Amino acid sequence: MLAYLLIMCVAFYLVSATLIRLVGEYLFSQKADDELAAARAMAAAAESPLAGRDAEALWSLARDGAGQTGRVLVTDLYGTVQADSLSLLNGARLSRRETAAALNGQGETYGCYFVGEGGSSVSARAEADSMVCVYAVPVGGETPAGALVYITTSQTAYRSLMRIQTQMLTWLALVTAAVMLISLFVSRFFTRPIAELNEGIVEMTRGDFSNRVRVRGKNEFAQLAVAFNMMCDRIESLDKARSQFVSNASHELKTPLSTMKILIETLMYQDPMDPGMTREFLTDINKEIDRLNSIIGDLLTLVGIDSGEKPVDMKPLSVADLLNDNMRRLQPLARERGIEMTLSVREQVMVNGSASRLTQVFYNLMDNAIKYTGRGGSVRVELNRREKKAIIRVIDTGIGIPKEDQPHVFDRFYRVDKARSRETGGTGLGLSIVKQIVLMHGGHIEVASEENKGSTFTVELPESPRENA
Amino acid sequence: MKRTAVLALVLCLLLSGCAPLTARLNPIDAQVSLPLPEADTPAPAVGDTIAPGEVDVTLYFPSADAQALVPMRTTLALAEGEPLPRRLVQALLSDPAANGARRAAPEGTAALSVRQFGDIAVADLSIDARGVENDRQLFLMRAAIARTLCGVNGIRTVDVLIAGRAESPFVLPCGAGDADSLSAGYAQALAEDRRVGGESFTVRRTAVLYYPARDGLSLVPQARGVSVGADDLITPLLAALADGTGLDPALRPALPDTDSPFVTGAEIVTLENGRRVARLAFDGNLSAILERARLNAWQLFASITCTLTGFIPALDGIQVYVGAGQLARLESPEGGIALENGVLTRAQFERMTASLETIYMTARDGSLRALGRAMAPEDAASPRMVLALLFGEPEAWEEDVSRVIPDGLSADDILGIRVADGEAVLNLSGAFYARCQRLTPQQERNLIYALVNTLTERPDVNAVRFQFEGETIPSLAHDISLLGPLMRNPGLISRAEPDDEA
Repeated sequence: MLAYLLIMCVAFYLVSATLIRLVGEYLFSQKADDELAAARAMAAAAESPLAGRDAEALWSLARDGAGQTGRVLVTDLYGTVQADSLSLLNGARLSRRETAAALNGQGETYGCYFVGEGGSSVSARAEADSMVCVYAVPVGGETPAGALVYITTSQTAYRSLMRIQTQMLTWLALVTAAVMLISLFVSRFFTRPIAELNEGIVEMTRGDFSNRVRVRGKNEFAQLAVAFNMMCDRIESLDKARSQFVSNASHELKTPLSTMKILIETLMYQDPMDPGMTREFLTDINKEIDRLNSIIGDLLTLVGIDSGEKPVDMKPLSVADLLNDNMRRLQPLARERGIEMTLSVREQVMVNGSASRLTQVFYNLMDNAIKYTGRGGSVRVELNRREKKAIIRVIDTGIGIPKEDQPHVFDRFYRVDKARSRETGGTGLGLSIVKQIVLMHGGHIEVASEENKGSTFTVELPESPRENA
Repeated sequence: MKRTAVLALVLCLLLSGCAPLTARLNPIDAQVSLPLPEADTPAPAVGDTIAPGEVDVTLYFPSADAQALVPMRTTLALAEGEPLPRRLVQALLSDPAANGARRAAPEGTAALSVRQFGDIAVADLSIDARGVENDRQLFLMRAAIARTLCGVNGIRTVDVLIAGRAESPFVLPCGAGDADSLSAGYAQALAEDRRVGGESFTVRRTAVLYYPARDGLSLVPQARGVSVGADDLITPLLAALADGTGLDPALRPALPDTDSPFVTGAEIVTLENGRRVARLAFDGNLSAILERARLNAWQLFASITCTLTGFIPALDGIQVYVGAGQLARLESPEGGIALENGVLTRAQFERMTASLETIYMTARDGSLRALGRAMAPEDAASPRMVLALLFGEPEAWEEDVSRVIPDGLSADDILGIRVADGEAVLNLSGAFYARCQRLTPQQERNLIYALVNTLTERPDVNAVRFQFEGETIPSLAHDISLLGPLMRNPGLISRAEPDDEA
């Protein structure tokens, strides 16, 4: 801010100084021309008296030429004052730049000077703190016999100039103050959102994701604040999810381990152990190991999906073929549970994807539908095509999902009915994996459910470009 | 650090903005070099010399037909110390080389004396001048001398006498002439003369009045205008002598200002021996009256004698009666004067007439006061004699002045004065220089310009150079440069109010 202030001050100063100089030149140039002409005329008149050493005539000329406020001096060839309208400098050598120029053949010249507080013997009639102009004109033409020095006060012009200068300085001070205030305001306006943003980032780095930036107005800073807040929301959500995931994963991993520890300790410390019981215990341990294996497999799958790497086997696939394969695989299970399972392919659709991944999606959805549908229920799978998308619906008439649980069914390790889920061998990661695979294929999945009436999972996959063509 | 630098920069800018727009005016610029008059240094002035020289003058001769004056430019060679007015009159009395002009006076006429008293010149021609053929030639002779002398050496008024008497071609006096004396012309003067019969008719003439100097030693002529009629020429002159208006403080009125008539009788009579005199009768208490007026009897009678004989045509002198007795002897500074037939003549006071020289002393206000000093014209011709007056103390009547010369110096400290080519080279002693070292700038200025102004009162000097022990020095004590010649400083001069004591 100080740098801007300095630039403003320097610019204003330069403008002021230039303006003052221009005004000064305007005020003084005409006056200087007139007075130089007067000095020239007096020098011409002084030529004869100086040559004839007529002191009375020279003094009379000087006195008449000086007027009320001026002063006229006539020097001889050596710069010695021989006539002074004030009769104070007679005999003194007038060692002034202007006199020397006139006597050394450099012609007429003049200069304007500031008379200090004490005045000057040269400008005895000038007031203190005023300006005088000194004109020197050779007397006697090309080979000067002396010089005529005409000193005038420029009080009016000088006062005008001083007034302008004072006004300029006043304005400079005012503008500086104004610029300072404006700079403070503007910098505060710009830096405050940034500071708040910075504060929010600092809080985030400290692990506090609940902090939000205050949004003011609709400018870019406000948009940035909104984006930051959105990012915070997302991070907070992810952080919660992560915490939840870690907690759930730990819990899911710990549960079979605890079960296995109990079973093994029982086998170790209960003696003698019934062989049937022992086999049963070992069978349970084996189950828990399978379960652990399943959980870890699912986690690895998620990790693979989360890494963002596209599957290497991406290719155009017939969705109907994939659904038929899965139908064939799950039909026996459905029949075993007394569930009617049907596939309705209304239109053949090709999608670009990984056959194994998409098979995992459809299998999982259909398997879940079978699991949570009671005997006598039905599971209907539909394939449709809409707006260059393959629309796959898995509709069951099962227990449904409570409304409050519906937003979380795709969360990792989220179970609507935790006891039942485990009973059915679920890891709580299936739908998460489904969703990630669908997203990886550029698709979309959603659920619509009504408790005790059934659920409908709808998967939308973009149609394969080749098919589209 | 950065912020400090920025603040310093702003401060500098603000301060520079407040700075004056122009440089301060110094009386002297040390870096300036003026030409030096080194090559112009004169030789040391030793003794007193006034260089002889040649003077270009204009001589006015009467035309051959005696109708006008004929100007003739010529160059006159002056001997050392020879006064120019005398040389001019001598030239006018010689035969002009030009055709159409004639000598100003009859052949054989000599200039008995030509004396200059300041701006007045009095030329006394020998009796041969009376041999002019007619009145017109007499008029032209006076006019030729007056016209020629006026303008020379500052002369403004010329009184032409013949054998110590005023001469006039008319009944009325001609009076003293000046540069414009011919403008009136002979015809006008003649017409005036023809009207003399009118009872109240008066003419205005310039009379040379001789006033007593306050020092009691001399008479100083002054030119005044007087109105005279043919019936009484004496009374207007006596009235003018009693009038001190405008008189230099060094002079005083010749006649006391009294309530009662001072001169009880005045007439012009012709004595048995043929001499024409003015007979004046004074109050019997003349001595007491003069004593009260602090006047000298000799100055009174000398003043009247010189004034009347210089104005009234063909007047040889005056006879004085005090009370019932005739004045037969008069005491003067030159000694006792025995009066033949009781007649006082102009010649008796010739040596007591003086010119009023001007010297300068410091007035109370710091200016240079011009002071008059009565001095014989022959003495006044010597610059040393005039400068010597500066070494004296102010006169008793000069209350507000002090001398400019430092104490302990005398006229002997003037080692030499040389006057040549319009310049005076004044060579002063080393003691003079030493005594001046403690002078203030104003005292130095007054000292130098008292010397310069006093010397430049001379018509042949218009600038003065200073030397000390024959050497030119840069300055005496302060700023006044003595490297070159100095012209007079008229602006430094103040003049005393005329003395109205009379």
